[in-house]
Amino acid sequence: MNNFSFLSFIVLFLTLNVFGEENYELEVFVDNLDHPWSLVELSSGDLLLTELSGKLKLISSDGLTIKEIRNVPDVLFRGQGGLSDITLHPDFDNNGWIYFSYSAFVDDKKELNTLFVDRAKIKGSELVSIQNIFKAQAFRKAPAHFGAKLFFLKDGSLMITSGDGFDYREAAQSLDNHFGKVLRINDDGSIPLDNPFINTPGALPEIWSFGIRNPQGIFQTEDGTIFENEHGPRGGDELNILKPGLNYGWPAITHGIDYSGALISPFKEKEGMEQPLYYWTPSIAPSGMIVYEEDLFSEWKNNIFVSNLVYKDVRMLSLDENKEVINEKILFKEVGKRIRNIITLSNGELMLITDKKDGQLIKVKKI
Amino acid sequence: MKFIRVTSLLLFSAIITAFLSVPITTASYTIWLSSIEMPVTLNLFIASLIHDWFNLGVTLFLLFLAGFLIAFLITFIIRKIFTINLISEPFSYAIAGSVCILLILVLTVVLLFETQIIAGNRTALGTFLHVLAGFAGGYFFGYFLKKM
Repeated sequence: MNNFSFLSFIVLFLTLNVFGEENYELEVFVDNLDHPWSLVELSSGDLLLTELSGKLKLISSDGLTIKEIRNVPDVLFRGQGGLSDITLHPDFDNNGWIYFSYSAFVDDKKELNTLFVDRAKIKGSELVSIQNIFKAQAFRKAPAHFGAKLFFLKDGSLMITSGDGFDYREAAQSLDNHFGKVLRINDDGSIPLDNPFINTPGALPEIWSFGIRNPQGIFQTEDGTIFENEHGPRGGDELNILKPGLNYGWPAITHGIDYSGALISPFKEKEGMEQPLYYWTPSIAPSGMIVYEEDLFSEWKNNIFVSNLVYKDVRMLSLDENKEVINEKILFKEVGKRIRNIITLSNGELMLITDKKDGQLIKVKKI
Repeated sequence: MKFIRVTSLLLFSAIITAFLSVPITTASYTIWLSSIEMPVTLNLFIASLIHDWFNLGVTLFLLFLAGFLIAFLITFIIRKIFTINLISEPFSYAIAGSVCILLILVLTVVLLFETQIIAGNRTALGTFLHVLAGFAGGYFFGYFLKKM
């Protein structure tokens, strides 16, 4: 290499590092996890992790010790079912309530199953004071499309996503069931009096919005906007802004087709049905979602991060002031594994959860 | 020469069965869309059907071709072993075609997350109509095989 080439190489190297976009490094924080699904950080810095196989684990803030929490309800770990999301009560430090979703059988014959949400407290290494606060009126044979995401809104109510059960997609357009809905309840399972269908005859009062397929991400920003993502079929994965009482169209309108190749509907739009804010065709299989609102990675602030299973990366979506998506950027491709979830830690770092057996927690740290 | 003719018969029987099966799915979603007052017109139904023939139809054709190959081979062997043929050749292949389609419908559910990938098969009527399409495909195969 002559002097000029060497100098050029040094300049390029410095340019990429100083002005380039790789301002982070990835660190495997914990590995050998069994189908990890969701994670929440306690104020102590410890982490509570759910594994789809039915285990709840307390991970120390340094990642060195993992303690299994006993007395978790029996879950149906089959297909897409199992122990799913976990979140903390907004006043967790005072009342100790944790909330978790899971799928389980609803009958003794073990023919039908549905989505459940319980709350409980942790005493030592055990769940205590377990209360079931929600059981979806969405009984199904196949353990598929549960949604199962939980999110506490700024007003203290709890949002629950409930998928269409795959074989029951048409039910997403009816208000007499919980298939294909986003639901809102109070922290004790009671119904908020300002829910949109609370006075609609025949409608289930928990329903907040409907016409949804398999919602896998939900997040409310500081300004109150509620973003939701959902798996489409072949194509038509969606990012939506949720508003009370609105119909998001599934399966009457869709930008995707069935896995078999058949149409699901020839319609892509209809008056009275909402269009997605953004959609992916081909499908990326969106999983977790956050809006980055911390200062550590200031260049990422207020962008939406959507992890995905198909392309094994995270999509960072930038919005303009009208909340239109103006840019999509691919991040963390180097992980190379299906990314099941993404959360923001209190110090502004991100944590990625990789899917299936040998799952990992991967920390995104600032360089 | 006979090999080519039998192969052609097998291909055509799978095509016929797929051709008859596709409208079951197309009808299932268009009827539902109409029921919720979506503007489904005859033109839209035909356009949807054509789309499904060239997409779902190809998937079904490949599935049915593989299934018929096994089912008709077994039928041929059984007919050779048991020379007392109580059932005529077309009907024995028609029954084989029906059973084959039923097995394919069941296996696609068992193997794919227990979910129903073929939308037209989500009702008992849909299953019956698919089996009927298999019967027609098998009858076609047996009828022309007999004429060889």
